Amino acid sequence: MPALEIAHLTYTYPTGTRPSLQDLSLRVEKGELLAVIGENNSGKSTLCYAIAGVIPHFFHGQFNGSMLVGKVNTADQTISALAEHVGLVMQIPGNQLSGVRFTVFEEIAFGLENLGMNRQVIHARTTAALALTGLSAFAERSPYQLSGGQQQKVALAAVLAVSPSLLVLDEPTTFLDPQGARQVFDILLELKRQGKTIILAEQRLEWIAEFADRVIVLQNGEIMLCDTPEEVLRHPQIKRMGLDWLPYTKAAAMAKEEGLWAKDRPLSSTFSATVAGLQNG
Amino acid sequence: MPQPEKQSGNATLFIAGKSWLHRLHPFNKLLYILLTGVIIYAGPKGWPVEVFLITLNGIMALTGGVFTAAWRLLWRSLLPLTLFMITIHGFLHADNRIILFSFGRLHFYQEGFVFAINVLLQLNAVLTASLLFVFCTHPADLISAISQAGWPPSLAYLLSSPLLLLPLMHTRIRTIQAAQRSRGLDSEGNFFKRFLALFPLVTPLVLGALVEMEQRSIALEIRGFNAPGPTTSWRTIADSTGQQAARWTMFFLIILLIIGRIFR
Repeated sequence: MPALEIAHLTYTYPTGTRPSLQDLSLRVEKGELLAVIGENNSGKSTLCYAIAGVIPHFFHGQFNGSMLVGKVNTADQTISALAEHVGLVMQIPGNQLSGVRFTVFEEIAFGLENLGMNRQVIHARTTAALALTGLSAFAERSPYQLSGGQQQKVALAAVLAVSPSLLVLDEPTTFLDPQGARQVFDILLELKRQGKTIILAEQRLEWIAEFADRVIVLQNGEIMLCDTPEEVLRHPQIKRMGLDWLPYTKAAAMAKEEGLWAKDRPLSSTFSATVAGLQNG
Repeated sequence: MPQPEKQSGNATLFIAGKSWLHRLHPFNKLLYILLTGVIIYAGPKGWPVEVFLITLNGIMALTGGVFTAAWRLLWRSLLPLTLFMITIHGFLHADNRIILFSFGRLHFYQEGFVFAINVLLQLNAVLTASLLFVFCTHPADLISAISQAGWPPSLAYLLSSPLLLLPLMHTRIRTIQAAQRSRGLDSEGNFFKRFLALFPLVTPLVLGALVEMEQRSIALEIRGFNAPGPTTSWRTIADSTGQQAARWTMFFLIILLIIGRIFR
């Protein structure tokens, strides 16, 4: 059974004049890391919200098609009931803090309390989430005194503590500095190693090229490309979708024009593949 | 339960400590404030009662390790009010008869002075009881007590979110102010200038708050805030039989005093 199965999903916001997602079908296997890319307003956040049930339960609007997380139909459950199945991390770190918990430990435990877990489970899961996100030393600090990167890690830890089968991240590094972004990506990499299913909407293509299993490109709410990162990120069409090649792909293309790249060798999208391509001529 | 230190990240006045007052159940401290108020307004009248209550609160503050903090806050907040009330009532109270001293044709009266002192003592008694609560009760403990009592989580949210979110709002106001000034907005000077400068400050503040409110609502939902079924609480608040008995005693005293006041 796939971790996520979307069939012919079309969604229009209550105030929208055109659909933000159009006839979107997608299947994500367990343990897969799927990256969602696209220009602004291409539907990335809307897709993330739809998977977490925020659409259609919080933002109502016109929702057609089906969305299954495991066996659970998101349209039949409330957002809170879906919390055990889907974890959502959003863009702005500070806005994801509950506003009712005074320490990082309590902030992470908040979701578990809402789901009625006992103290032993709360302690074990919160401690594990703190350790995984490198926040153990901040457990008794106020989450409001942390940096943006640390707050985003708190949001991630809060979601991980609930242990959902599917993790959805909507551009989690947008407001973070390179170091903060690196830390978040390191955690995602560890989760991928542990076999977690992850859907990541992200603009930092270098990281996607390196670690994603599959990439989809959204434009006007439609999936325009869906393939491995190598295929998608060097695709000639990508420039027409508001995106650009990575510097490594551009370097490989220039090398090809200059005759420094083997004619039958496809363009690369990572640093190591470009170096290897140049070395082999 | 480890108590976080007083932090600038929230608007609480809580002072970390391990005294008996800190360990007391939050509902007991709340009921004590209510009892003080009821004694003042429905119980036996006269300054000895008020002085007794203030002295009792002072002893509690001393043993709870918050006397200095309470004293500092008390005199800062009550001094201007004391001067104002004594002056106004001493000179202008309706029942003034006996002159204590005069400044030319201005007379300072005994009745107004006694009245002002009495009101100030009453205020002091309630205020000191309230300070014991805010200095010795971490808001997280109050919220947990509310959850443990089975009251709706939304009530706990209403009580605690202003403490945590108001400082963030204050920070945002300062940021917007700095941003608008860097773009040439003059927010200093006369009243008219300041009034005009309010609009470029308030508009982004309100719009930003609305967006944040939407995001925070989603964040609460996706973390199961409205999940069906019973909730649990990581923080557990000790509630011994003795504390429960004290609570019921205070509750019945309050009822008795109110009934006594009605039929007096």
